[in-house]
Amino acid sequence: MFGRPVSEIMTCSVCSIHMNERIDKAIHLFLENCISILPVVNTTGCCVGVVTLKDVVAKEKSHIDGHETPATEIADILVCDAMSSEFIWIEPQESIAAAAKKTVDNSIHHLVVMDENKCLVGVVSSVDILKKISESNSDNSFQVSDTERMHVQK
Amino acid sequence: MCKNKTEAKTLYVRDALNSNVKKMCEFDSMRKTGPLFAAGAAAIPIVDYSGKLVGTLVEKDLIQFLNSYFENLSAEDRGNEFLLEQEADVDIHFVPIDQISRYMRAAEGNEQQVISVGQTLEKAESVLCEQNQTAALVYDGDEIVGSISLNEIAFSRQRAKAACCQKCRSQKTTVESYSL
Repeated sequence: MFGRPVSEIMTCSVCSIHMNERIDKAIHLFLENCISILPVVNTTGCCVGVVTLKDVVAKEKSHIDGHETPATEIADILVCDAMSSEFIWIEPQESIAAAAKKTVDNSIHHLVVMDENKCLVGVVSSVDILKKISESNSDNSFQVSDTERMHVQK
Repeated sequence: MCKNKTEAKTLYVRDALNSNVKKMCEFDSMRKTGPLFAAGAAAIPIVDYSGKLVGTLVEKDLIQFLNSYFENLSAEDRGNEFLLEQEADVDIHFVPIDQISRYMRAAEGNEQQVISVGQTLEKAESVLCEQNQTAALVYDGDEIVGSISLNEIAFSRQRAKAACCQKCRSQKTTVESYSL
């Protein structure tokens, strides 16, 4: 079951933002859609980074604390200046188990799904993987194989 | 965007409270928590059979569960190497790998600072950061009334700022129309 492709559990209708948009547009999207992460795309639709609510808050904080040039208003900051260009991604044909491994290894909740052309095709979250586990019909084998023995000295 | 860099209005925990809170039993399966997290729960209170609070489960704990779950799946592939041999003087307890009690943050012996509805968001945020948590339960006296997360705090602040900007813009429009 976990050898099935990520494309089966990913969210395809993903809200994304262009790298040259201003940060207030990202804030608007965060609030309107109640999301905390936005994939950032360039003009060709390739995913070039991710911007999170945390990035925006950090950017605002450094602005208020005076670490940024005072002439720059928060609203004038571009998404590309606040985004993280190092992000974890996966291809749609990779397995759900591979997605789980990447999620666990990097302690993250969201993976960007990109095709071979680096085009954004979806997002998969830890909750999506959990849902797949919940749908598992192998309850009986689960009880046996996934039971851990805890040894307690008498 | 408003140019005011300091917020005039103080925000409290109740302004960012996620009141969508449902208790779960410590012996339940982690699998059942999926719909709750998907519905936006930041922290789930975990109770025992008597209804006593025994811990809290946050979204971050899902990662630990996924790790154990997939590790055991691969162990199964290797021929159950992970199962230990029974020893004569050892009592063996079987604890399902998906049981919530394995992943929750236990309440007992944990004297962490409690977040209450009347606290400011700054205070709640500092408590979460001190405890290295992303979410926690919120109390009104002894009663759990919801949960709060770092994301919800950020959302709440951004909403307040957006509302402030809206107000500033409408005031500006009124002044301009008067001057006309």
